[in-house]
Amino acid sequence: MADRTMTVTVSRYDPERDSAPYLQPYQVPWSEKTVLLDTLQYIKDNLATDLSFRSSCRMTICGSCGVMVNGEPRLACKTIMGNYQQGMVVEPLAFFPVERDLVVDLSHFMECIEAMKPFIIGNNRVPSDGPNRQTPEQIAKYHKFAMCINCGLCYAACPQFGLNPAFLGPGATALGHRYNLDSRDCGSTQRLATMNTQDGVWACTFVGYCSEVCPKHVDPAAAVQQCKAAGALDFVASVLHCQKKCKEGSHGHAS
Amino acid sequence: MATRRKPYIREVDGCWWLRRPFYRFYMLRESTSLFAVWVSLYLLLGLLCPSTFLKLLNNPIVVLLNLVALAAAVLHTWTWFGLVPKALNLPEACLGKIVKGLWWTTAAVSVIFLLLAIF
Amino acid sequence: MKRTNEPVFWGLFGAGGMFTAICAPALILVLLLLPTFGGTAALGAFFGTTWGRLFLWLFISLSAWCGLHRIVHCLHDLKLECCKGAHTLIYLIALLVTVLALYGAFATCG
Repeated sequence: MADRTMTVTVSRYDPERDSAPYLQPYQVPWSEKTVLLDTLQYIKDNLATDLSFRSSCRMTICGSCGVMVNGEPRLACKTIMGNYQQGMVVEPLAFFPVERDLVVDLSHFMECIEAMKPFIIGNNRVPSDGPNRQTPEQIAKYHKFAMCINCGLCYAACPQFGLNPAFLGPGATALGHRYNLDSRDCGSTQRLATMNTQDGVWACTFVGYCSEVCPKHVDPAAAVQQCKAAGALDFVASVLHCQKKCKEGSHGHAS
Repeated sequence: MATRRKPYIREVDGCWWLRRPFYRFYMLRESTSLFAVWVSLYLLLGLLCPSTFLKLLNNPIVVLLNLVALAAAVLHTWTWFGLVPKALNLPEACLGKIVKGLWWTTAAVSVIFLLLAIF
Repeated sequence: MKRTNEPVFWGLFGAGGMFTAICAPALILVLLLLPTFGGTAALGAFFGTTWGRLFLWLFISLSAWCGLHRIVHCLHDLKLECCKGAHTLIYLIALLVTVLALYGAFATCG
């Protein structure tokens, strides 16, 4: 790295030793090109060999290295040290349980992704039918919501997830919405059933910080609002459908 | 072997929104609802008991509440029109036109009310 | 999975939010502030008509539904949910405002 040094304060937590996380300052060198992920690796190599953090691609694709930087959810590989010369506090992603140091338990997020069934449902085309073409307009409908890298920054930005750990959350909703909007998919009924619960999209109050911190500009807050609109239509349809069924039922009984 | 995991849960307290400017502005936006309810109740009083409504109109506390309610209503309009495009999955250009249309409608309604009040 | 009835309240919140976003600033200025600061309340003629009273009824009730819906969620945000019935009670207040405004707008007419 280089000539200048700065202080980086890192949250440490060893579940076998500590009762709660604590902050530990480290003196680290930096240059114009240094990103936080380099700095964390420097600390692990030179100052605290037991420091735990997640990372993989180093280029904003894998979504592994999410941390809180001065209280803001960020990817470590996308955070330039030169912008934090006044000081930097690095903590594990907010609202998730802390496993160790900067590593959090993302199980809830993963379960929500699974619950959204992020794959094409109910399309019975076969390979001999040829490619399933879409127009640019059909792709534009969902393309923005398809850019998610599952980094979880939006969950760490969402106070509603903090207040209600059962909340479906922004990222998973955006992913479900992406498939609901896909012209090749017929599974929106299944996904809307999950979305239309108390812990589904309706726990959202449109704080909007999720879209602010998303490194891929997916705009999950917009996805959630659009799912609320779709969910409200689905609600009306269900009420009408129910009434229809009752009438059919009574007809059947009378005859 | 028993697990050595001991996940640390950081409890969220009722003051979470004080810690970031973005959250503070969210709470400011939500707090406009208090004044929406105030205006609603005060106008309801105007319908049910016009004499009391008129008498209170010059009460300094009521004047202050109404002034803050005006500011809150403007903030509500501004934030609401900012959020409307999020609920619609339409091309950018289309959304721009819709928001512009909403502002023009608001301007037109406001001018009509002012004209009705003056003449 | 249990379907929530939140869309009903969200629908009223949305309708109220849009209606007040367009009308509230002018209405507050004209009905609540201009009379105080020397202006005349010449709107009596408009709000005496059926359309005027319908407008007032819509404004009062939708404003209450919109505002109280936000307050319900704010109680959750601030961890102030004292009891399970709080939501129901607040929505009942909105319903009461709606009914009273309907009565005030049309039953006391003339």
